[in-house]
Amino acid sequence: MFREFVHFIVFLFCLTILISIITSIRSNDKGYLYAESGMDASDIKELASKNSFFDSFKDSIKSIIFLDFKKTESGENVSSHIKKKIFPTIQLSLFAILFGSITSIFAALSCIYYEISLLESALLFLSKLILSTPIFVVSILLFLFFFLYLGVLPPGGYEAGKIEFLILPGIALGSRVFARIFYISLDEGKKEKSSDYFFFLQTRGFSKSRIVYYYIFRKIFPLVLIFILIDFSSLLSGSILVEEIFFYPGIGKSLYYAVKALDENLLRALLFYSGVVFYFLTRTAKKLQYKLAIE
Amino acid sequence: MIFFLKAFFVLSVIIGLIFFNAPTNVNLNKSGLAPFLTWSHPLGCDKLGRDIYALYAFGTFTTFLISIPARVITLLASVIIAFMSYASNKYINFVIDSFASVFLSLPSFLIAIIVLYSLGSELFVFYIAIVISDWAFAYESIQGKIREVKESGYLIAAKVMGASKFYLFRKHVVPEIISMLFILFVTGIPGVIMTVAIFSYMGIDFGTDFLGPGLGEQIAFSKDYFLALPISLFTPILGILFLVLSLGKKK
Repeated sequence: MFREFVHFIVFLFCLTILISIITSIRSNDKGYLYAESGMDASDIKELASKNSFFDSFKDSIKSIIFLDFKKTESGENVSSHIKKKIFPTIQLSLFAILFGSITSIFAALSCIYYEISLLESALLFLSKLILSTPIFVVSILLFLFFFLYLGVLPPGGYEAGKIEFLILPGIALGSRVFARIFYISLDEGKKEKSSDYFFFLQTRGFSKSRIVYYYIFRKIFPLVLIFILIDFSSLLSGSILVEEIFFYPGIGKSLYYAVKALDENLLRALLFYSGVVFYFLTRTAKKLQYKLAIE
Repeated sequence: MIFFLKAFFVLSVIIGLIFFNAPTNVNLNKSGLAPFLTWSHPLGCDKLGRDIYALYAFGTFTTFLISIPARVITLLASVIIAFMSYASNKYINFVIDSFASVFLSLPSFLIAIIVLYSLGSELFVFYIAIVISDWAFAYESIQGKIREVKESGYLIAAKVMGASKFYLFRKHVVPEIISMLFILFVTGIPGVIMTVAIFSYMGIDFGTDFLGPGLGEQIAFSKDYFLALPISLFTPILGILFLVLSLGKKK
């Protein structure tokens, strides 16, 4: 436990250095933001003054210790800005993960149950295709097909409690989860099917569907769970573009805005929170992996 | 079958590069020209009158030209950092490892985009962005192999006989990690190709505009008139897919 704590503190320190480097670079040349504001040149110079690395480091340390990231460039409190975005973000990531993992595990188990090689080849091809296509292309194709061609789903935006706004961005994000989890589930499921455990259950008189959809599922689930946890980190990268394409008001869109608009405080907060969340997810995944290897 | 598909893809790009000019000129007289009508524009023209086949061939070639060096430079940087870690004491080693874990915990695309927006969109900045965002994964894999080699008898024997760390790295470690570098190259190249396409989609070009628009930029432009001219959206998508499938390998 103590070792883990020290590891986290070292990680936090390195993360703070990295955030300080990034935010001090991003605070350069902010003068153009005020170019058409009608302000005096001296005021613009003062507002656009560059932060040194040490200033940025001091600010980062203070913000992280007190969890106070001050205000965004538009004058909004950073914490309340993030609070507003967190619910849509959780909704979207849960939808993407659930869609990707449930459909992929079900598809993989069905391939094992029905033993139709054509179905398996088609799904493997689909997974390969998804993994070879950038996420923005998947988003655009979904947008064109469901909104422009079929006209059945909204093109973007967000309204609390309405699932139709989650479907297109959720499927776009979840498609990569589907592809990766399908590969793993199929591989692991096949191994289980050729194991003694499978034959033992058959001799006990269990039906094939019960063995595949219940016992094999229980066997492969811990490993699949590790990959699902790891996949969470890839969601943030994808969400930057997906949220931009579907006008979805999540953390990914905020990150992109913070980078583009040179919003130092917002960028600092988002990098800190995303770094810490992914640190815990990857550590948990590693611990689970280790536990599984021992078992 | 796959070999023929790859050969077809390579040939289609080469033919485009030889027989067509870079699609940099706008010709509104040919705007929206349908495919398969003339030999001079076999796939037709986009809304700006640029040849769609030339857009596909030059866009694919540009993506290829940018991606390969980016991956090679990333692997070289990872090897150099791994050597620094190998040659230095445990404290420096600890610092490098800690930074690697920070870089692994942040999404690589996010780091790349921050570097690009911070330092400007030039080709060498793109290489820096790719190196900074991707070095940690390659470094971790190389470190794993180095730990394995470090325990080998012949390396310990050479060390006892007074060999320098650089000599040990060059003569004993590098030959062991060569095959791993190749695997890291082919498994990492799809990611770089997709990153190039994404940046191109976001309107970031790397000074290669004399070869025409990138594949991502073509997608961003042609999606707006998809119903009128679907082929102009599908050709850049095919270019990305073929590139990834031809150069990459399943992890």
